[in-house]
Amino acid sequence: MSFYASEHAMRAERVLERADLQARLVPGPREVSPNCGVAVAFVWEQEPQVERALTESKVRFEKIHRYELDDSLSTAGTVVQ
Amino acid sequence: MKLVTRKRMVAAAFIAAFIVAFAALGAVSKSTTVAGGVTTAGQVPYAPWYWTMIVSPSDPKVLVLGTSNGLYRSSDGAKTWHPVGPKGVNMTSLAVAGNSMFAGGVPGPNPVIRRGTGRTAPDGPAVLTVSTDGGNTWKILHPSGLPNVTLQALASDPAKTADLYALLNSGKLYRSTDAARSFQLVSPKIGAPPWALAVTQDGHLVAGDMDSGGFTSANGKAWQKTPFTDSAGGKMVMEYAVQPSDPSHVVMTSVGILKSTDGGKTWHLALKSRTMFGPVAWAPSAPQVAYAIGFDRSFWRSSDGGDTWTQVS
Repeated sequence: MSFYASEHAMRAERVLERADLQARLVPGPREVSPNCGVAVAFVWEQEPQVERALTESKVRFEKIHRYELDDSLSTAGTVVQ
Repeated sequence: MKLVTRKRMVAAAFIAAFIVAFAALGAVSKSTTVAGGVTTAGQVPYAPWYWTMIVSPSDPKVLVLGTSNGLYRSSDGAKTWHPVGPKGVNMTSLAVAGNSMFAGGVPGPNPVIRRGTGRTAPDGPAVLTVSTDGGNTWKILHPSGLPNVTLQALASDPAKTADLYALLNSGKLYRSTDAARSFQLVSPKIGAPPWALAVTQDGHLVAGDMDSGGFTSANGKAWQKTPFTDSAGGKMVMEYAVQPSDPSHVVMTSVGILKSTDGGKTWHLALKSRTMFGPVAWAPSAPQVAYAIGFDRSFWRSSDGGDTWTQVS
């Protein structure tokens, strides 16, 4: 999930954690978003809950991308950022 | 006799001119090499987290990058990067002390965890390594006195080449005065969230994190909060780099890049940007040159002591 500003990404991470959804800040691949450099990675299977939680908390995000990461989150499923 | 003298004088003049020209060429060539460093960088390798970076004390084109995927080294001015050091280690920390490079971290793939209102590297055993060949090879150290706990940050003292500070992710601060052979406790809990740490002038310390901002301390025990505003109007601290030739000059990555000329007490914005930056380092052999990496994998360079920054990849 990409953002227009890094503080939005940090807020999104906090909101998702409070909603018991796996999420964390990651460097945003350049082909995904050049805006603020940082993105939030989450488990793809939880995409509807993630979008709902952020919308309800009025956290502004740019776009949701499907993107596989080579790290611990990707073992839990396909990850987007 | 007179003719011979004139010939000798002409020949001597030619030789002198040749020597002067050769010396001038050498000087130009030498200054170009030192001032050169990274001028056009390649793609920064992808990693789930970018922590820190150092530059070789003798060659501004040799860089080591600390990431949650381990260490990467470039010997061609950041055009290409190759993994070095122990595998499977989240390398949170890098420091140059004397001619040695030190790297620290914790094993495992998870880069960062939330801890209370802040964040740190995950809990685990400490990994401390040293390189004495410019970052090519790394040897695991087992210093006495240092608990086997995640190393969050390392910092060298520009004035004391044998001194090395180690900040654990628990907030405990240790110092070695014998090039990391042994450590002694400085503070059981620093007055800043354990994240980034640096030593400035007169052994003063700066520390800070992404959520709480920056702090300074004269002794590692008492800490004062330092006000500043990053590019986004926040107070994010990602990483510090202290200018080796003048430790009162410090650059700090955040949303954009900030600079201090008083050892971290006050800060001004050097690069206004929407990008979150991470690793930042001075090139010791080219004192006005510093490098920084954005989380969008952009590579930036300053040639004027951190006052202005130019994107080089």
